[in-house]
Amino acid sequence: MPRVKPRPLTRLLWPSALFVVLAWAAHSTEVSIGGLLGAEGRAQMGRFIGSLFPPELSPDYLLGLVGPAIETVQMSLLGAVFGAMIAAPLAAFAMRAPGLDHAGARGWRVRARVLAYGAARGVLNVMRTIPDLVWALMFIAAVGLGPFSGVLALTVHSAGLLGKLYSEALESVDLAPVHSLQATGVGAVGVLVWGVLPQAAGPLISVTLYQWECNIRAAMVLGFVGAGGLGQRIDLAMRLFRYEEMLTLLAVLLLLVTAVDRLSAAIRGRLVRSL
Amino acid sequence: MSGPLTAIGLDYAYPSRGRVLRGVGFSVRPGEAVAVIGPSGAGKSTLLRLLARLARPNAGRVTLGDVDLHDTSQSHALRGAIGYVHQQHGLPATVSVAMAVLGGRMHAWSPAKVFAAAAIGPTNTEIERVGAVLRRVGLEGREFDHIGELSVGQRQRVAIARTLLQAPQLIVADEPVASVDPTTADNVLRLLAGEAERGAIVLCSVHDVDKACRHFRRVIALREGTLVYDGAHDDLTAAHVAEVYDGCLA
Repeated sequence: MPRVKPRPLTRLLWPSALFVVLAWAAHSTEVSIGGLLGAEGRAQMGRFIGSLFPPELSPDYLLGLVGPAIETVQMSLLGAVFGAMIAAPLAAFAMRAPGLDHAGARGWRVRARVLAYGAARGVLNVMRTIPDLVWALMFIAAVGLGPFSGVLALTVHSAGLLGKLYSEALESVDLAPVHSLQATGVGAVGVLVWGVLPQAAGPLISVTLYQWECNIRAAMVLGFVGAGGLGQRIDLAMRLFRYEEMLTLLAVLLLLVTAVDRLSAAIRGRLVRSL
Repeated sequence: MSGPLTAIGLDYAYPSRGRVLRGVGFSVRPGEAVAVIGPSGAGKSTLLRLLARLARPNAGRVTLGDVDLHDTSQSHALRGAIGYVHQQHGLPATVSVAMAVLGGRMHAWSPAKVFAAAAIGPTNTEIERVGAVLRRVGLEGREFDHIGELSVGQRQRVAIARTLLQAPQLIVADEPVASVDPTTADNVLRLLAGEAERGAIVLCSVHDVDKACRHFRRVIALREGTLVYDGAHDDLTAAHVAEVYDGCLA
């Protein structure tokens, strides 16, 4: 019978440390199962859920939601497309250039490339680190209330996220096609278009469509601070204690997210297959 | 551009692996096809990467004619002069065979032409040129297939077709037959060595010594980063081979 090597106590160190950190975080944030599932919590939750029914389904109300719903989709779509347009050139600079030790890329070109890399990474970090909600508040201050502020906020935040994901997708390509073209003397544009993009196109399309899905949810939240769309209606319903309207609005959001999810999956499948 | 390929005192070290080339030097005339042999880790791929300008030597220099391959000011002059065949064909799976082969002419394209080819595909004249070289590698009529639809051996033949279309002064092939069947391997090596007949310089690393001697008149052997044999294939004896591979898992 084979002898089983006893597990050293040190293996328990990391799980124990993780447990301590989680317990500390739960204590600091006043996490309480009793508060949620205790008698008072259950009663409050029951009252809230009860007030959601029956949902507001009058034709006039539902018709009035069509405009904000379309506006939410438009904001999310424009945010993703404009974000992708800003992210693409930034990602080209923010990726570690394959074969940077190539003889044609030394001296001042390498220094310029390294400088551009650092600058592009910095810009993407700022865009991504500041939450879209904060961008929306800043743009509302700059251009006023309404969906335009939402589009701008989603554009900047999407550009930051997509730029990072694009640069990672571009960096992870197989270098053999890149080297084959570089060795023959093909320029940077040719290497990018015919050596890198054919390999990275699938992931690039996938992350862009996924960002569109994320933007639908983000566009809802931006409405809470006055950036238009369905979110503004949810905020209004909450403030006026019209919880039956809120259930309807959440159902519309679910429908929108599901529709965009299905649509983007279909587009993604078709585009990736056609490459 | 014409003249011999001359390597003098090439040293190269990877930060993680230390020195892999130590003072390697040789000269190859136009019209000569040379096999580079040696056990794994001998420095063959590194030497070929230096010759293909994919890395710079730490010491020493390489010239093609009177042009220093690693002189940054000569990059424009060297466009199209070097063809590189990668061990794993080096072709993206999603491009068409025609576009993969046209990679051999892309060094002469402007950025506008690069984008135009991506948007509308190659011209009829380009397709005809591609068809001509595909016939030479036994892939006639496959212009519009995608690389991903081809077998490994067929992909390697597409890589050779690209080099044939490019018709460079120097052809560098890094283990081009490492993952293909014996018949395809012979065909690929025959095509590569045949390029010397039009005056090209051909350097090709090959694991199989018999194949190297069958297709290339001259053999260069590396062991632990040092040149241990440089001579005619006829003169390569069992003692030489033993010296190159002794104690190594070739």
